[in-house]
Amino acid sequence: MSSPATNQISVKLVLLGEAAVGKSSLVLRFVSNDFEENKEPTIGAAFLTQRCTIGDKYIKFEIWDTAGQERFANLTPLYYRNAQAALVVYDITKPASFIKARHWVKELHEQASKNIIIALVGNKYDLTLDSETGEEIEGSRKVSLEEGQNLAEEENLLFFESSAKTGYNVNEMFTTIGEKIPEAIAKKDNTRDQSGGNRIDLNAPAENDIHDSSCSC
Amino acid sequence: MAERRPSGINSRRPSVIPYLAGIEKPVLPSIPSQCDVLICGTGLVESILAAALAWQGSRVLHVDANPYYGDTCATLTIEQIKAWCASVNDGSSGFQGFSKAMLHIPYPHRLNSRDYGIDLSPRVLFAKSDLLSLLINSRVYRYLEFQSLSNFHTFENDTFGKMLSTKEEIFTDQSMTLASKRQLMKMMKFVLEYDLPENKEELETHMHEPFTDYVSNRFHLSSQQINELCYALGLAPKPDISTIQGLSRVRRYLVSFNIYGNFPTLYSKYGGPGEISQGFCRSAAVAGATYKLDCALKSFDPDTKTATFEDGSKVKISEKVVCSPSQAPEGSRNVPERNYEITRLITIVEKSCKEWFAEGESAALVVFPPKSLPSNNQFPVQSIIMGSGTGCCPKDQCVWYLSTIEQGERGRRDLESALKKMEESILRESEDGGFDVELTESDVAVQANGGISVINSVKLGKSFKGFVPKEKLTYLLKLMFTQYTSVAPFGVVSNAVFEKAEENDHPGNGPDLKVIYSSMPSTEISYDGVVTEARLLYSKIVGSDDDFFDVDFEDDEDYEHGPSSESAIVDDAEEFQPEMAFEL
Amino acid sequence: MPQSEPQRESGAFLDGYRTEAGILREHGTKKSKKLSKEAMMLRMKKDAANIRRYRKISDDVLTMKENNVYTENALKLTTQLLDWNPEFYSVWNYRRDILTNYMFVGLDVEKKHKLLVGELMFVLSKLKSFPKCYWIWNHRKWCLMNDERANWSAEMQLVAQFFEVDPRNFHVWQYRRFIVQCMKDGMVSEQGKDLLDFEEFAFTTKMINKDISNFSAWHNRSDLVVKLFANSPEASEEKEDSLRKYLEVFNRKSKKDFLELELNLFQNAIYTDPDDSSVWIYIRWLFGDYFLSDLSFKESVDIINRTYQVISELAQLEKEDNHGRDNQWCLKTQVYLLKQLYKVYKAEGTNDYPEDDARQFLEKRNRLIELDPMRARRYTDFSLTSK
Repeated sequence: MSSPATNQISVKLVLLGEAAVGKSSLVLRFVSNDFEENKEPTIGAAFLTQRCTIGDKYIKFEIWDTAGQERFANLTPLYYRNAQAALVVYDITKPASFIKARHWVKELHEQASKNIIIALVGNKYDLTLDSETGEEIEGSRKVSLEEGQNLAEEENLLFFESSAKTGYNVNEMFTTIGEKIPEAIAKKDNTRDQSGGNRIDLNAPAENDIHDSSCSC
Repeated sequence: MAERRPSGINSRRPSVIPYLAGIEKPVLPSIPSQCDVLICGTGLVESILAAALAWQGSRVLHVDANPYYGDTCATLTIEQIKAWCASVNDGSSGFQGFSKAMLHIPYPHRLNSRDYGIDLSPRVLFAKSDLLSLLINSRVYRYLEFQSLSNFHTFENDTFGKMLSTKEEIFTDQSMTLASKRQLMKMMKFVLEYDLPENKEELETHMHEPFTDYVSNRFHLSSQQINELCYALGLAPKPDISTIQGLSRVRRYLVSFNIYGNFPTLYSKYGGPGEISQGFCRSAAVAGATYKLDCALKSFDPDTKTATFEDGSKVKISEKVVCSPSQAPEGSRNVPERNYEITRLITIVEKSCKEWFAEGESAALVVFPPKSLPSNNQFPVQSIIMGSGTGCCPKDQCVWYLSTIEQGERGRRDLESALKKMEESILRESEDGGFDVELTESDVAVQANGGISVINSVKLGKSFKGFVPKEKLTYLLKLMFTQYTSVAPFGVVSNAVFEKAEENDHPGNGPDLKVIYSSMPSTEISYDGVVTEARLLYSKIVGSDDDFFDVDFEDDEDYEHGPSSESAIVDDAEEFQPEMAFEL
Repeated sequence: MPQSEPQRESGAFLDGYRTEAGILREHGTKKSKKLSKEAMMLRMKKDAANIRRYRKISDDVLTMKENNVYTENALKLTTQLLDWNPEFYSVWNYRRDILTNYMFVGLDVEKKHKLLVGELMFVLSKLKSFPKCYWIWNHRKWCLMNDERANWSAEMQLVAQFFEVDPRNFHVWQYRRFIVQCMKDGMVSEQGKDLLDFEEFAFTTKMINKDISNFSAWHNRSDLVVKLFANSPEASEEKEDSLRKYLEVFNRKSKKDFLELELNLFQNAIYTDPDDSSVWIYIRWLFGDYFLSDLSFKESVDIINRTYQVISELAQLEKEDNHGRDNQWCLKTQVYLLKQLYKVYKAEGTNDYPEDDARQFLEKRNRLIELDPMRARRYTDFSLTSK
């Protein structure tokens, strides 16, 4: 009984980072590239979703954007709740944003669940390259590769440098996160703890809801 | 999905995606200098309002004087509760609307602050209600988790009972006589149909007489059944309700059944109104609203249309300022009278209290009708029980929220009295064999740690008169406080509350001239009235509520199943009727 | 309300691209109406493309069907098409042809089973969205009939899941009867088959308790009662008291005692909901010829009179509560019982049918004519002696 539907893992992924480091661009790049033609961000979407197959796993990313609420560091506890993955994004041309990234990593350790998978992402790689020659522009990069790597190592994070503009490393970071999501944890999280297992889907009134578990063939 | 990615895709940039706009945007160090509407306080009503306005297109600046979301209906950790109490008692701004906060934490080291989410104004959500529809329409439900709550217990003659309220329960009950089954069913039916034209006359004749008289004369129900109807099913906050009030309240319960399953109410996990507020704030933010916490309003000048905050920053407002009374600037003169009180008692106990919950659930309601307590309470005491499965406290603990609209010392006495009864009850329910109950095989369970047998079953409904508990219940936290509101019990917020801002003859030039005030959470234990108030405020600002959340959200989920064609929905009875028809 | 200034500081309220709505509102104007229009256009564009695709596939499939094309690709196309429109019954037919004439060819039992399991999954995914579509259920039955390894207990679990959602869906009831029949067909022991029938009977009790208005449950009950009077399993240590009583009654083949047991049940039901048609229809069946022909004259007269009494009391209460209005179900059933009573007297060959009953019959029948003038003619023709 291995159908895509039964193996689907839902992963809540939250974005963090200073304003204007390109958090949303990364997501849009990820979501719009790998979908049907002319997929637009859904109007009024609570969060963006993207399904993808990684190995034999069928993952549905629920990607929560900060919606600007990070501007005054006012994210709600709701934002972190049950997040299984996080992207902490900074701009490699802006040192201040890297300092902020440290702050968000700390915040995640405090607020989010223990086994959350965090990826540190140094975005805007494209800005350090000359668009004609493809060579690095002297002095454009303000946060070195090593600095990022060191922080990632200290805090046990995944690490990528990326460009939302060119798509560099975008799919890779999501794929790597997807691979890291242990199936057992994702499953456990879907059913929640026993006592609280009676989650009600408000969009599925009683008469329209056959659960996947019904398939016992 | 790397393998599904066609090569060279990077060059394709669907035009609808703005050209990576964020990358060039400067970092914003301060709040915007201009907005359409300023909202102070992130309570539930204000948050719904913020989201509605933001989606309608207004530029909303939404601030809160507190360092957390939720304001007067926040969900707080233990540390936040402590700070909150201190601020209530010294009358700091941002805490008006509460008084006499008394906090007792006997074993501080046993409470890990962040393991708790304590609601200042807990509520339950009826499955058929305006807020629930709004949660769906606005897609805010997707940020939240909801769980069911089925057990509504009534305390009467020293006993916790549960009313038979569904057709199934009534049909299969062995103890009720046929005649009373019929009467009870008639009553339920009438509740669902009282507004049909054929019942108009009857309703008009009786609607203002006391509900209790009407029900007892018309349906010959017992006083216990009437109490259950009134205070449990109807969750009436006071005695002497009118027939029309009673009918509409019981109906609210009945129509909520079987919408999502065999239960009438739900609650949001990890916290009630506090959690839902956060959901609407996020929605507002998605629609473009700006958020700032720790930001208290100092004054508003209606001439220059400028609001000034405590930190000195200013914002120009093109439309209106809405403010929760709890966040009114110091020296305000126009805050609406808050003439109604709610006394609350919140406790954390070291017991799972699973005996009170329906199977698979983690929460329950207990109501104490008037005069059912030794304190001879004049008003009912309502109590929401939240077990660890609600995400509000750790395992084997439980949060009890008791409240009454009785005032002052009497109110506190009633709550203590009800607490005592709950304590006795839960000790009796969960005590190991010391009490005279008949044990059956299914009542006995083996504990994980060894061969000890314990009573495992729910023995609600039995009296515990004369019961002397062997153990004592451990309270980990006890918090009592008074809350004030301008919404009368049973009332829905009225426009009059907001009118003050419009009056010309102002009593003086306070810092809140022309500020529109919301009305503080009502005494109602359900969410009823919340959306009404948000709508009222909305029309006050926009001019009408026609386009309140009138947004077409397009759902990506919709398209997964392809276009739905008409399905052959055949009425089952019709199709089978010929086989067993009843024709003369 | 005055429109706010279109000028806004760069980035003051938008991070730029959070949502399309955010972008549209860039100028701070109220655009909810326009927004809906945009969304509508978007949707219409998508719809148009979808419709074109649907038409194309649909044409292709029907052409292939005509030409008896049986290939894997054809099967794939039917999957696509049925995904869109599961009501397309000729495509289901074609799909079965492809399976039989191509996919099954050369498969051993095990492989065929595997293939059909996949097919069942597809069917289930469609049933979830269309639980009342005849063709899908039909296809599911066909799959199981063609699978020598069919897992019947899994199917029963599936039925239970569907009942969770809608206990009155008669497609599910019908499907359940089909599964039970298949299970019985696969059994050697007669005892086992009878036991299954009795379990099904117990299941109807459970479903009726849950919802006395479940017509399908009452109907299935009547079906099973006939089967169980013909053959019932031996009384074993049936735990539940009430069920054991029923089993004993079936063993003794005592229709009289069965009526006694049912009297309790339906009395409770009509008092709980006097307006529910299912119960009244069931009562009518209980006092039909199937039962009465097996009862002695005395027994029949006794039980009919007692039932009549029960209903009369309810009718009285109903009348009092409804401002003198009669409950029509009570009236109809009273008239029906009086006529059945007359039949019983007739069969016994006596002319002692009580005059009072005859008077009651006329009175109640005339009342029905008054209350239900639409059917006046039918009631007028209905007399004690009419057929």
